[in-house]
Amino acid sequence: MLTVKQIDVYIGRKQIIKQVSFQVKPGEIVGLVGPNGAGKTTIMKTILGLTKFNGKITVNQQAITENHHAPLAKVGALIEHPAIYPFLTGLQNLQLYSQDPTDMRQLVTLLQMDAYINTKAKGYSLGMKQKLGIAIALLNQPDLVILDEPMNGLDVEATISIRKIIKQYAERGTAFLISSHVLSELQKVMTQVILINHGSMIVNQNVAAFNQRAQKQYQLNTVANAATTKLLQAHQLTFSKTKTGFLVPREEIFAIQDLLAAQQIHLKMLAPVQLNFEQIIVDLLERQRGREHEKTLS
Amino acid sequence: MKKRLAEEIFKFRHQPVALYGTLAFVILLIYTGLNEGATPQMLALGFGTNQWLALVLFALSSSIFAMEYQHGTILMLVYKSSSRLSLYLAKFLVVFLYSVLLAGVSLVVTFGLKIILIGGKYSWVMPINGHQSLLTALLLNLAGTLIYGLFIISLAFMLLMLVKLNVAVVGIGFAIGFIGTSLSRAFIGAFPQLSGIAKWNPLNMIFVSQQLADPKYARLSLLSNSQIILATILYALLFMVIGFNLFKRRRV
Repeated sequence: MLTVKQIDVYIGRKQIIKQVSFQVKPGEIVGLVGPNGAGKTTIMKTILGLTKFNGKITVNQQAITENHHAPLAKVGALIEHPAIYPFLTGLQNLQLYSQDPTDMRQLVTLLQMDAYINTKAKGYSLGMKQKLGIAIALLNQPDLVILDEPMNGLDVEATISIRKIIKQYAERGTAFLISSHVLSELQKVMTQVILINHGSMIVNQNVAAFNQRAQKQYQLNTVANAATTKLLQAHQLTFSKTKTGFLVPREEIFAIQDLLAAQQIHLKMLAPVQLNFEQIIVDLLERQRGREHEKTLS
Repeated sequence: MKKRLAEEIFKFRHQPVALYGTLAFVILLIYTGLNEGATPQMLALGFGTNQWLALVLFALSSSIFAMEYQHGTILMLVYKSSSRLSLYLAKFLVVFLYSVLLAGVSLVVTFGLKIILIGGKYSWVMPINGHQSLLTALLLNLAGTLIYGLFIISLAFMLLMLVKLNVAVVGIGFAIGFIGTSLSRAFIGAFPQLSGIAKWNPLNMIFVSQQLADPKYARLSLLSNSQIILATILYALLFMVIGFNLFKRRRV
């Protein structure tokens, strides 16, 4: 469906995306996760042929370039803000892009927009605009849908409804690439997770494998945390700092205990931790920052 | 291109700016008629159609593009289309078609105002400017205004891509509309020995909207009718090329 191969994106002289590669297969829901400014929207815009890039992007084996958008005919998108003309009604906004009136009507009902679809969009609330933006992205039975922060401004009911619709479309074979800062929501729908930071891809895993990271952490606290930091760094052991101590990988706890014992640093606590999705992301980002910091120092 | 044009017409029909532009144009024509009276010169000029149509076109041309950036819809337009040129041309064509519509409105208003203000006085076939009927003069002025419209639309699009600020573009448009010809005359007058070159300055093209029906304006522009028509179209093409290249490079 979608293949992104070693893309680099520059804005001016600054490199925004660095050698990012991934695939989205039919029916997959891929979550694009990362902090603000990581490059998520740039990746989405690049896939839509809106930015110059080096590397290769194909949709259904057809290459996309800045000047060749024909393969995007079956791609729907909602990027940054819903692309809505306020002087048109919701229905007229949909009609601008719709190729199938029946499909358009079904979407209106599916997204529960019947009550206001014939009123001008300038009077819509943020959530109503967002729903209309999602409806535009889902028009014409797309093969791939790119959604940038789709849950923005949606209330709980609408969020649940959109989640169901995404799953429903995915079951029919539509592929999704979704970015969201509401990680808990994304977690409920995605089948694959891609973590981006500073334009580089840190993780590209299916959700089951990604969740295994949750049981791989131990919380460590010693009587001399500063000395412990130096010791772990000196032996190039993986760790991240928390408010009270460290998070260390399960497979390294015996080595760490031996090292601490040799230095007569006593343990105050060593306990397994169950990380939730957000904590795993934060932990991965902190580790990457730690590695970058070390690189800078060396 | 056909699909793009249909989309642009659909949007344009529903935009309040098209209706307000037409209303403002009609009010300005009526104001001119009441203020200046229905003299043969005013009738030939369609009650200042050349000036008012240019102002409306300038304001509308820049806003039709600016609103796409303002509403974030430019992103959809660009990704749904492989050719940015077709987007640019579709918008250009829509505004030009609107200028033809306004020229039609001007004809109706001019005929109507004449009947209301002076009734049967001055026949439409009476000679004016020595060599043509009043009706021919009016039609020639409208034709010149439409050629000038090409120049205005392409200039407004180019300026919007350059300064990216709708208000600034409208301000420049109003300045050109009100003092453009005076500036051009002052420029040519400042370099009398270089008038052969200075007469080709872009502001001098404004005379195309008047001189086709009234030869006295040709003495001011220092250009023949065929020269000024050709130069106006060439300037419009130049502004189109520059404007489109700026649009192509502009990030969405």
